[in-house]
Amino acid sequence: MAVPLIEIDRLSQDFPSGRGQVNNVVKEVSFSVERPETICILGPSGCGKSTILRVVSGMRDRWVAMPTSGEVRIDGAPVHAPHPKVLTVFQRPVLKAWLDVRGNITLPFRAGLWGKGVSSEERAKRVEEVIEAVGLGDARRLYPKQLSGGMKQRVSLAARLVLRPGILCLDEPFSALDPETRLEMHRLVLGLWQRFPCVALFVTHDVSEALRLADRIIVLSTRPATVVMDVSLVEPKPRSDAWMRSAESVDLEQRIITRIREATARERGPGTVRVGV
Amino acid sequence: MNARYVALPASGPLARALPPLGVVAFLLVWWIITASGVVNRAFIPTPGETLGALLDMFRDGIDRRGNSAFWDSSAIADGWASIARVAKAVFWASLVGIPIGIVMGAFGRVEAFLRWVVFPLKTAPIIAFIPVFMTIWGVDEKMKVGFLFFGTVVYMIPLTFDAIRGVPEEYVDAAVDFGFTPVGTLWHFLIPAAWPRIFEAIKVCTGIAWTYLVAAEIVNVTTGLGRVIFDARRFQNAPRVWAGILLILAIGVLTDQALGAVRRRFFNWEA
Repeated sequence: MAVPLIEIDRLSQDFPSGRGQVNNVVKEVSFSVERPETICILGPSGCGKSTILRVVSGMRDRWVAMPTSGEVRIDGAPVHAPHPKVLTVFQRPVLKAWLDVRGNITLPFRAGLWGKGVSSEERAKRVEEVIEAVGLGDARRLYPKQLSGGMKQRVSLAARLVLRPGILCLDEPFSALDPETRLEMHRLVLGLWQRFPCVALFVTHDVSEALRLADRIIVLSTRPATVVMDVSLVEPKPRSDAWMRSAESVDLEQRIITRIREATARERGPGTVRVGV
Repeated sequence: MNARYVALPASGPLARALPPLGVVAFLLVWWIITASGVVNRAFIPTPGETLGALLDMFRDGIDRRGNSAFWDSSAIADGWASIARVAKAVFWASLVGIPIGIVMGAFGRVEAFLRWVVFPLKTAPIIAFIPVFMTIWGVDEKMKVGFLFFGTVVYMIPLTFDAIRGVPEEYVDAAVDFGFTPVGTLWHFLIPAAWPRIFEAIKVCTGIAWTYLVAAEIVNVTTGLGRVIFDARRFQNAPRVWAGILLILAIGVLTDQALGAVRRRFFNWEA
């Protein structure tokens, strides 16, 4: 069998929480990704979903070694540093306020990891293409101050897609948007993923968002995060509102919610915090 | 009843009227306590006397041939000497202090190495160091600028440091994720993001330089508004002392307005 694109192998992460106590945030999470598909990592707020993404993208916490144990492998090689194949779209779109939309999307090419070997004509071509693709054609000269939340997140997405990442991590990218804008963004990313195929690791705490976007949903428990469910969805995308209301979808949603509740009930207790190292 | 909001600037016609009203009220209080004889007018002159002395400062210029000359008046000639000193000092303090602050802000090890040496200096009694500056720079112009430089650079470093550390960590996260090197992160993310606050630091340091100015200029008195005030005090000319103070305040306000305009024009991305 071929080497998986991403392999997360018994990943655990502890954070010190003062007075020698250890906060066990992620516990023995394992899964692997074999083909370019959209994987929604679903779990309650603060369960360690973002931590998993940080490890996948090779970003360290400032103070704590990551990961505590276990390993993430991309194309069979363990990840220790920012990976030249992985990019992250953060929950808060961090736009460079001193650059206009086009400047924000062009800036990433200045990083050695991605910019090398891309000619300036190629860069300009890609920037134009991606600006059109995210629907910011009329806004390319605007500054971040002048943009709405949804438009900012489009710029943030574009600034990643312009580099053609093999793996795109999205850390609750739309959770700060209103429901209408969120649906609009869902339609947008589905189109974008067809145009720029990649593995998308999409972290969310919104079950319906996962049902709309995912080819596969990995459900995590509350802290410490463990995988409680791993399910593939065969319904083709984009998924209609009718499908979202269908028995199949509603049933799946209920199963997911029940699993999270069960796991929460099981984990609540003195065993969740380990004392001493 | 209308909802009333706090922590907002005033608006409407009252907003325009209030600042001048405040000045008028201040002048009124000043006039009452001096004209009524509550305080000795040898120490605090009336607003009228002070204003007269201020106008005199623009008229007391005499050129080499003994004719009255506006450009040689103490307000203009000494004012310019003082402005030049403050500008030079702030320029050098920025040139030295901003890079140090940026490097300390960006690199934790540099910060750790320097913090106990550099940060306490801002509470150092700079005036007590004047003899040291005199041995380094003599008693002339260099020493005066050097003194002001030292007095401001000790604020410039921590303020720049704070500006860099105040950049939201998401910027650094994004830069690291894109694979920027530390220097690239600094150049493309941290410094531009911190610029508005670094510029604010320059503004604050200009104000601090003005507060130290008189102390710098009364050593080997030559030129400057410090000289004007010092001489006037020696001859117990209280109105002229106060006029000198007013002139420094006015220059300070104008400088603040000018730097504020520059900031709004060029570094307007921070809300």
